[in-house]
Amino acid sequence: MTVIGASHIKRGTVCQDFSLSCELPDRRISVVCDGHGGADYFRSDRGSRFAAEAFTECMKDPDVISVLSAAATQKQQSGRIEQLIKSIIARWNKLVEWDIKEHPFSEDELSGISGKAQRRYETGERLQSAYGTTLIGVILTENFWLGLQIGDGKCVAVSKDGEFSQPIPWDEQCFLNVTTSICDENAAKEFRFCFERTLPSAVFIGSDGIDDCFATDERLYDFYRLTLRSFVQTNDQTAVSQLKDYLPTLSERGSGDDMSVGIIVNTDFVRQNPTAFEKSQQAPQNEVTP
Amino acid sequence: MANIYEGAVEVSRRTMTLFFMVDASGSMDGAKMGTLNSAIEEVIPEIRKISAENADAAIKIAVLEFSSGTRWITPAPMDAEDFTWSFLTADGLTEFGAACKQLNEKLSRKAFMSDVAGSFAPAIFLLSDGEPTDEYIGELSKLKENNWFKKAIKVAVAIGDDANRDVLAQFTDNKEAVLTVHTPEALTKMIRFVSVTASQIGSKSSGVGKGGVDEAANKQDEMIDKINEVKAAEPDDDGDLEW
Repeated sequence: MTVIGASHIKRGTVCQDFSLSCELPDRRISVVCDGHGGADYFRSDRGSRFAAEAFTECMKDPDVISVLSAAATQKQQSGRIEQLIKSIIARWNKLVEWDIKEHPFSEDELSGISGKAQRRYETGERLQSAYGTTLIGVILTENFWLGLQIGDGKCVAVSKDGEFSQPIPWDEQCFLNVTTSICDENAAKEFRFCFERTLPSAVFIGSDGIDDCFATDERLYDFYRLTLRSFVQTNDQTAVSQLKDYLPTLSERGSGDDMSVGIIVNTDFVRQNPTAFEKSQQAPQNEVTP
Repeated sequence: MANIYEGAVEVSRRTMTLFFMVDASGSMDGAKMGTLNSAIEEVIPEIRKISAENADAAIKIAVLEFSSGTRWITPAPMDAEDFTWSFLTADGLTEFGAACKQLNEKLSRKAFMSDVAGSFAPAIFLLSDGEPTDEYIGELSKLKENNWFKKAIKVAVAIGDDANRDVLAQFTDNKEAVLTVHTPEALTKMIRFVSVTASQIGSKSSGVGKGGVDEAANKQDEMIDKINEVKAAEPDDDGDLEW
């Protein structure tokens, strides 16, 4: 789910986040993308949509599960995941190229950007930068789950013991408002991932508009604990609508940014083990902020 | 049904810290320090207003004075809303290197930048009228390796002709980010201009891709553009010393 940020409403700018999720008989897929939003990235709202679509389409490929399941060694896993990443980037680039062909950059779009960007765009150099976006995507199957990420935002996994963690490694290049991006020349190398055969009880993926609302990771986890409690105490539809209804308030009180959250949750397990996720059940953990 | 999140979520607003780094050495005594104290005191309500009305980030203020040693006037960055200026007095040497060391220590998630995950890059405003009296080069070099410092808006005001503009330019990494003033009026004007503009630019959200279009475009460049506009509109005062 995605809601526009409070500061975007105030400034009259469009929502640059985009998210998608889908459930197939053998897999569940969720992806959130956060377009950069700076003046030079004037089509990042489309870029985030294309990235979400590219990820989802690649993950729907019938062969994905068999290819990844069959990887026997870590090297094989990494090799196959890297191929998958390349195919997501290629698909995104194709969507961007198609969009530029259909809708060339207008004078109006180019008028508000930096001189350097203007010169580059006018010479046709790396036009896809105008569509720059981050991406965090997850696929969960019966045998494994995979998380892919480029840029900021956080992927939080909750084990069946109720332990919260961030299994996708952080990238120190993402600092303050600077983030790696699917539009980078070396985007394939900048993607990070986790691949695990032990299934979590829940996975949350959030754009930086979400995690910038919280002083520490522990506060972010508290927020997601509430979401799990909402699934325990109500039905799926109500839990989702409660979260979506609250996100504009969270944006207003917190980061002001666009907000996207993707959730894959094993509702049966969570409802059968409601106390496992409450804070009192957890041993104290070191708080980590990148 | 009441929303489960209402009243149950501990939300933090993004913050941008404005650092005042003030030379309080003996040569600042008299009109220079008097003007500086009054000018900063007068600009604080305006910063409070920017903080209150800004949807992107709240502004915090931190103050470091340096002379024979250093002293944080604010033990931690304070909300602009709660901050009042404490009048500084001038005495002693100009231990600029010690000040760089102090700043480097505090520009860390383990220190002043710890409270909010979504902190913006700080704005650092250095005011000095003299020449460092300590071995500053090593400490300045270390400070320049600090990621927060690298991304910060950095502006210096050289008060009078005795200020070492080259050192201030090393600090800001850009000669254009050093302003020179010779009169109390000019100092007052520049303190107001830098404090307000740095607060406005620093607390504004901007999404930037690492290797996208224009990596060099950042808030420091935006600040320098504003400085150049002011310089073009109002060239440096004529150098008549009125301190």
